[in-house]
Amino acid sequence: MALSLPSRTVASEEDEFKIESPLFVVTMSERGLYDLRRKQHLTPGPSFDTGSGFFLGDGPFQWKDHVDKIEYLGFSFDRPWLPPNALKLLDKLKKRPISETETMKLMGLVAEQASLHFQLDDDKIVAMTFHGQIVEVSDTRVGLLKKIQGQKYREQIFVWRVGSDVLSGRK
Amino acid sequence: MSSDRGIFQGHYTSGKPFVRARIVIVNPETGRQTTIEKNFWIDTGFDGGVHVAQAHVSEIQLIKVNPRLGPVGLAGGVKRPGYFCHAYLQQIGDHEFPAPGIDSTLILQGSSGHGFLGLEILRRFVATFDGPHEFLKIGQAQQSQSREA
Repeated sequence: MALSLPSRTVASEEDEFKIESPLFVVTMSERGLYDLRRKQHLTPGPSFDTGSGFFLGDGPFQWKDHVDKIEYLGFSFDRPWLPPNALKLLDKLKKRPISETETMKLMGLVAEQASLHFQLDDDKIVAMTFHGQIVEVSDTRVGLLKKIQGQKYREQIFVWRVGSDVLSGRK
Repeated sequence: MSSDRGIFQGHYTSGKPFVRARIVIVNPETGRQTTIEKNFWIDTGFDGGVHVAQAHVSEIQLIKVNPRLGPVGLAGGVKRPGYFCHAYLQQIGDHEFPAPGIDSTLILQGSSGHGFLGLEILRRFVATFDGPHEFLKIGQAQQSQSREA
């Protein structure tokens, strides 16, 4: 069965404005005026910043002056989106030390998300921050540890083997 | 399979294959280094290089090397956070390896008085465990027998 619509609503946009109703006439007049002004650049569109009220420091805000100084609080390409339980543990970690179990859980959650986000192959050895930012990748443990030995990082990092829950150990 | 150059041979200690060994941790940025010398249990169930007690972390931090956190597997399937860094194995028994030594993973975890040497080190050698006589022999593999690590 074919879908059908009432004849009044299938009319073209032009036809719609020909409907003799006081309400539509007013609408047509306002829209026509808006379109005319927009074409003549007399008024900005709704997405324009009117330039009022947003100051940073002494002068008006200029995006180009600040783009490298702004810390993005939302999504960022260089780190994964972390699940709420990882964020809770990170918040807790800022206030006090966390237990060994919680540390293992946090590393696991962060590493899992980072591995998915960056599509890392299994068995790669990676060093990453607790926010999931990758700082170094290697094929071997020794290779990775040699690369990061003596290096300073802005954030605390941990080491992980992709696709495994231990980096090394005894059986 | 036989080895042509002996590195270590000796009887077990307390029924276990122990060796005296020396490892060195180097800060490549400054050249500063620190040494750990102790008895190590040769552990064929350990897939890493060298494992020592976590208490050594503070010695290593003195040369501005920060061992990094990572997950360590322990006997019985238990997993614990430990610290990892790079080290060189420089000596087993009386045998000194050519400088700077053998590249190795160093794990700092737990509180054991002795260390462990694992498969990451053993794969370079021919090790013979004579259980009935409690005798351990480690030799350098012949060139044709050794595999690229």
